[in-house]
Amino acid sequence: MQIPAPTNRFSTRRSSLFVAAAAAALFVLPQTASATPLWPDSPNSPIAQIVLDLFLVVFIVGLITVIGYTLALLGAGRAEVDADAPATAESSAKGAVIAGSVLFLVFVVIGGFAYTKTVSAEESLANTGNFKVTTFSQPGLKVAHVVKAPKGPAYSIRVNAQQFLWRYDYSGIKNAKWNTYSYNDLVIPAGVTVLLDFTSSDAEAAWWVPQLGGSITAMPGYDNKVWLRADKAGLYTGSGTVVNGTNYASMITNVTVVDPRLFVRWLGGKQIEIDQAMAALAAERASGEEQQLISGQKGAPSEAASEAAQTQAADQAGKNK
Amino acid sequence: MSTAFEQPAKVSEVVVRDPIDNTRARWINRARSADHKVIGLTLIGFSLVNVMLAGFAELLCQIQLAVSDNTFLSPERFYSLHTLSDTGYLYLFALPLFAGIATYVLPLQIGARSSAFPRLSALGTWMIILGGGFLWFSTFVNTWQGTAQTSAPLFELFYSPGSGADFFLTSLVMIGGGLTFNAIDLAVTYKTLRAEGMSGDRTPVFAYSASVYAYGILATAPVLVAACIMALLERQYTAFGIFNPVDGGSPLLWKTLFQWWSHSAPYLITVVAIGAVSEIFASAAGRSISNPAALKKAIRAFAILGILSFGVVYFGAPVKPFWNLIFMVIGLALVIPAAVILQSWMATIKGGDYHSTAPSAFAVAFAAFFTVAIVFHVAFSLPALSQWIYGSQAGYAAWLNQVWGTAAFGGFAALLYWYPKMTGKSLAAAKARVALGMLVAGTALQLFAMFSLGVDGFARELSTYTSSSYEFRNILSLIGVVIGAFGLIGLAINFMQSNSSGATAGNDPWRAGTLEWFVPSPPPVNNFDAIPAVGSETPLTDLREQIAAGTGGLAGSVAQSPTAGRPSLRESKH
Repeated sequence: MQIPAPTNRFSTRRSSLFVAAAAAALFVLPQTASATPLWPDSPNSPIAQIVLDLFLVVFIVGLITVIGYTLALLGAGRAEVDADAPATAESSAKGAVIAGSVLFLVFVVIGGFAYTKTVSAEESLANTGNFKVTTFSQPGLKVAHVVKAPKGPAYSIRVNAQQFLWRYDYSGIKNAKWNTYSYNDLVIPAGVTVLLDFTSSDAEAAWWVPQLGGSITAMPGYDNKVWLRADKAGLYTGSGTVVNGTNYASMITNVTVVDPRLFVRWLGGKQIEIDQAMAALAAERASGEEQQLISGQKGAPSEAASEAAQTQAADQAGKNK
Repeated sequence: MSTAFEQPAKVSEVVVRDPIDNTRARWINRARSADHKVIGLTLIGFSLVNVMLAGFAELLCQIQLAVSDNTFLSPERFYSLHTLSDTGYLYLFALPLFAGIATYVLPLQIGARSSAFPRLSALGTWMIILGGGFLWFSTFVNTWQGTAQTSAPLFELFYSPGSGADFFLTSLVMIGGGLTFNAIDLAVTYKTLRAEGMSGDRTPVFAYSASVYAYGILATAPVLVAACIMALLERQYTAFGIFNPVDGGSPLLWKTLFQWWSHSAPYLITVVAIGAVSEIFASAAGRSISNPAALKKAIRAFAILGILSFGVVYFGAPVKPFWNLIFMVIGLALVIPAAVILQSWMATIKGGDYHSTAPSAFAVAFAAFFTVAIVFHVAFSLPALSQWIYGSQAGYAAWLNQVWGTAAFGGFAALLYWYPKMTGKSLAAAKARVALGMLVAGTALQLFAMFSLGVDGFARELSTYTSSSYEFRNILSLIGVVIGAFGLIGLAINFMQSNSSGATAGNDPWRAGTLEWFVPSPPPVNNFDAIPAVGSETPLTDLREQIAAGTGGLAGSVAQSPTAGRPSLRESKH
């Protein structure tokens, strides 16, 4: 009769610990799972969709590799050794080289395909109305790569980083006036391809809206040309990814995606708002009230007026450099 | 071949000629020492002090992030401490730790009586230590705006007035120069001072990986020194216009020069850890390393591809897509040597009689975190995905994993493995395992929380945030840091206690195959009175077999008395 092997004290303790840990995990996991997502949430642009697909491929292959290899290593250490077994473990590294090469080739193909898709702009889904794109060049900036304009309508918007604001310049849109711009909130039409020219007027910064794609570097002295197409209307938030100074954390990147017709109206409204603010500023200047405003003796200026003042300050700073 | 390095004998004479003088203060003896073992231990001790300081800086940063809209640290203080914790982990903890272990072990492993240029190595060590002092001091005079690693013109005088950035850049010059000097010593020692019979295919894997690390440092650290000197000059004389676009310079140039070093350094420390872990698995399995020739090739390829894949930092920057594709291919190619390395470990453990030891438990943890690092490396090598994830908190988690994970598991595995040799005492193994459990739990929790934050859109290196939905995971991350800190402190106490009251270890506690276990623990100043003949990559195993078979033991070895004329060992090279 087979006598059961005596139970190892340690293995009992270990298994009871394991059971306790599993029970705790069962209790805690459902509550924390919603609070600790493991992959990007709801992509809203072709590029973000590519990112999510790539992420899931790497995540699943990686998870299997990490857990599988670690468990196999622990198992190999625990396994009984067959002293008579031939030294098969001395087998050459051929298997590993082949496995590694297959993974390498698969990832090169997937990654190369995905990357070529992210650097060539797709066509717009929606009608843009009467606005046409004019690509503009920014004098004095180095351009490494030009996005090919897609067939059909598209918008071109210039993005400038400065400490600690993002300035979006819509004057590349032909029918818009020369000085239509916004700070911190980028407004774009849904389903329309937008060509963005990134640069920075001081430190290197990066622009990241997770649901719309990867982060884009705004480097002083360089014009970084990328494209973007947000497919659903909504408000998308993000931040920088490169420390560009002490208030880096406050430098949020909000993107408001609106219906194309609303966008046209917004552009017009923004233009009027800016014109009015400029007019008000000119009037204040004329009446000598500006000094009082700055020293805070008067009520706070309107948002648009303060934006206008910021532009002027920024322009002044640019000239000083 | 004549005589560039006529010298195992001579160098050890240098060491012996300048013996320890007990009338002097201990630190003077340490500072004057040209003994590679003293130099190595100095570096290791320095790194262990600095991991505590860097960990403390990280703890403060994590406290700042624990709740939204926190005002515990001002942004200036946060970035200053954040920079110190990052640079502290890499430059003052991981690099000196691995450089110190390599400096200590490499000459012993190849049967040399000293390293080739011990005084150069000592100079490098003290430069690193002085540079570390500058680095920590920079925080007290710090008026600059961000991390030097990422900010092209931010270290310019316009953005960072005051002397903080000067101290910081100077410290990087000294640390980079110190590492370079140390690496020259390691590379030349490996090349020229090997024992009789130790041809290239018989060198121990750790010694080989240490030499690969040294060549890697020689290829990258001088670039850091040059870049930082340029930055210092530019801070003094704006007319230089090297990096500042206002004066016609290029911030992309800074990114290139700095990343050439900064992206490579984690891969180079990983290389040393791979070598150490391979030896540890082999000794725990009571056998030699499986397929060492392939493993060595893989280690070399890993280092080369690791350095060349620095271009992943350009994804998203204004460069031609063609170059991004090239860097994608280079980066992805790293999975091939990584697969060979992982297979070699598996085969070593499978093919032997494996008994888990404290170092091998650390080594298994390293293997797991190393696999995670490879997965992150693949993610960073795919341009579209890299652009998304590199700048998120998950990208920072990957960096921490590669630097802290490699040093805390691979580095401490190596330290535990050679601890009996360095001190002559056995380390309390059960306590070390408890510390390992805490380090693994803390690190895994911290990295998991950071990863989840990153995929949820939390960018890296934020000094504060507004959404309270991020709080839970930031608190998890803080808890992870605290657990890891307790593990670290426990391990440090264990090091000290075992050193003063541990059991005597003997020459060869692990019954390993390489030469360092032949000499007494701790080794005498001249390392070897007699060097066993090397007929394979595991000369000590051969020696044991010879003794068991009664065929000789030291019969074939090179025995010397200090006074007898010593045979030249140089002629046996290659």
